[in-house]
Amino acid sequence: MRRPTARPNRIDQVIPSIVERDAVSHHTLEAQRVLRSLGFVSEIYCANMGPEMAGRVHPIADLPIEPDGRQWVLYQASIGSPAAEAFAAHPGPKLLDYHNITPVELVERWMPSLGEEVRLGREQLAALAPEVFLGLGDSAYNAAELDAWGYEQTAVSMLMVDHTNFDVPPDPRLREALEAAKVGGGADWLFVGQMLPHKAHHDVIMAFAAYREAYDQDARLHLVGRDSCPAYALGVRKLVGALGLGEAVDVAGSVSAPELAALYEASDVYVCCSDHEGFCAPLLESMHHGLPIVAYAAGAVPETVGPAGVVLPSKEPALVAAAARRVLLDPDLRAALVDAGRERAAGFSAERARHDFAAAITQALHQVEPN
Amino acid sequence: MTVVPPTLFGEISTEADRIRADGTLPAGYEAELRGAFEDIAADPHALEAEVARQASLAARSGARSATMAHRAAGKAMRVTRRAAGAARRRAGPHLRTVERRGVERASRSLEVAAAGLQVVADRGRRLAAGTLAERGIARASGEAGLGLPAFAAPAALRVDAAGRLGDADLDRFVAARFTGRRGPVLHAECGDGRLVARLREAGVDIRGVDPRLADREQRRGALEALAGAEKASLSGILLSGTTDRVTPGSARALARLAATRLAPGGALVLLSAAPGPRDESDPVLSDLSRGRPLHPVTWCHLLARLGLEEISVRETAGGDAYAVAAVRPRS
Repeated sequence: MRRPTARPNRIDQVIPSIVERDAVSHHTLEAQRVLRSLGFVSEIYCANMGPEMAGRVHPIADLPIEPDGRQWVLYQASIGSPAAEAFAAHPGPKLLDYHNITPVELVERWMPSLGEEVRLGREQLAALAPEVFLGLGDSAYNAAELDAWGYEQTAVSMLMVDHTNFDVPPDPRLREALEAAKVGGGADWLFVGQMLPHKAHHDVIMAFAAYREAYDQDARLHLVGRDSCPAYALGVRKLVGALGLGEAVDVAGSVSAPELAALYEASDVYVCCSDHEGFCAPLLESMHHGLPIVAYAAGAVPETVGPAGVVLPSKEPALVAAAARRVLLDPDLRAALVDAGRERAAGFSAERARHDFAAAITQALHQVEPN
Repeated sequence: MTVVPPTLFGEISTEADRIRADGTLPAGYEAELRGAFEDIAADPHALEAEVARQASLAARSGARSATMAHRAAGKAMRVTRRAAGAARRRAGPHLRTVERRGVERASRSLEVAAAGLQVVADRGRRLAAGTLAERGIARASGEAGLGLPAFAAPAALRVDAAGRLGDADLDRFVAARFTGRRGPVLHAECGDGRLVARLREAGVDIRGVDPRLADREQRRGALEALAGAEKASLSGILLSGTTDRVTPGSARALARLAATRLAPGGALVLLSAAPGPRDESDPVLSDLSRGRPLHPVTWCHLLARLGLEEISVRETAGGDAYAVAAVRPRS
């Protein structure tokens, strides 16, 4: 491992892919702002870039090498990429910021190509452990994974979330339609997440079916998120049909920010049954909108939700249904969850996250051991 | 801060037991739910095939819509012309001018509408063809992700009628890697095979495959063709087309497969468009954000990790395309 022997002049970032409207890309751009505000030269080098990023970031081949140890490199790890090889080959002291990579077994059966990418990513992260002098995780869960791979020093530095869309006004047409549907009674459940197998939309649907069967025949479920795995998305739609829930489940796909705001506003409970989450930004958004959460305790979910939701050790349909019922019927519990959620969401503010990241860099600077 | 009372989970759990026990949920209801999804999810490949079929049907439906729109447009134009003729006969010169303009405008609108529908139908057909080809290749090779619709290749990678690449320097670089080699050479995604024909004339024992070819023997994707070749059996491999739209994980799989199929001393050449901002005007293609050209340096890293040597890169003068060459060590 190349230990830092001098305070750096520049801290450059390496990222596999950078595009707009992507959480890790936003985090990387924010990190660049923080690094520059701390007085470092800081550029971003990537293997792939969206067209809108041209001029703001550089191709990985242009990553400079300054031989005097005054250049550090920071890798933003979220998927397998040849960018990791370029990062590994760089002679400068190395930092790594880990945003979690879904375990292979959760995606491989449905998406062999994605399975290959996540396998590569996890292999690369294990191989990088001896090279990195400080590993950052955007949750304690992620930092613990770095520890398990043998990273010598790790710290938690929260994700710098894009709050731009948190307060957009709700889409008036959708709001009207959702309000009209409520006139006939029934609760609205919401889950937001890309249609990927490890997001377990099917478990949300099963719990919803049990809820309707046991408590509320008029309930509705809204599933928001693009079809990132078409075969799984088809399976989810078939399940909706097989359970006779076609009228009650709205598989909305990708929606605009105002439409999403309308759905958060109209919904009564947010239900998450994901098998794996490294952070789970929609939970944060849900708390911000005052929507109480019922969630299965997978990955970083308990850490992200904190005391602001009902976190369950199992996602048996009857258990999730009973939890949702309790949140909907117990006004004291509901009010407490809403208040706690708003307070917790505020704790993930952009300012706090930037401060967190700056503190992590300061911690790294303390590692400098002059020759 | 404690919000959830410590007894809450116990109470929820008791409630779940109650609705199971007292018949609120029918006996075996949860098992039925799980069984329903297990049945659906038993074969993800079958679901993938169904997705491809649906895309194909949508494309055909789009084509039918376009045809119907064409017919409707023709009929409307005939009716309009008849009406205009009748009006002309009955009205003076001024009215005839107004009528002619109206007919022209209506005709243009109908043509634009029909053309728009045709574009949608064509795009659907292309997408369906790409999806079907991708699924076929994925099934055959046990891999997935290489069959995305092609991005427009830079001029440097186009092959002229004589089988020469658009960039003369790149052309010489590629041809020199295979000329004089003994043993079979494979060109994966060879298009209509012009470059293959030229190299064959130069004495290279080369065969080309491409998933778009009509010939069943030659209709292969890169992964499928490489997976079907014996290990260490090829004296040369030329990869093009597919290299423009790989994902990082697929790039690794492709490079690894190619490296194992090369005989000792064999040469691998990758031809690719350079990475860069893409045209976002086509929303279908722009959504496929994972498949795109990689930078030559990333290929170099990959090939070096696989133990290949003599790695060299040749970029075109315009910087819009490149070739990466490498050799499998003899020992």
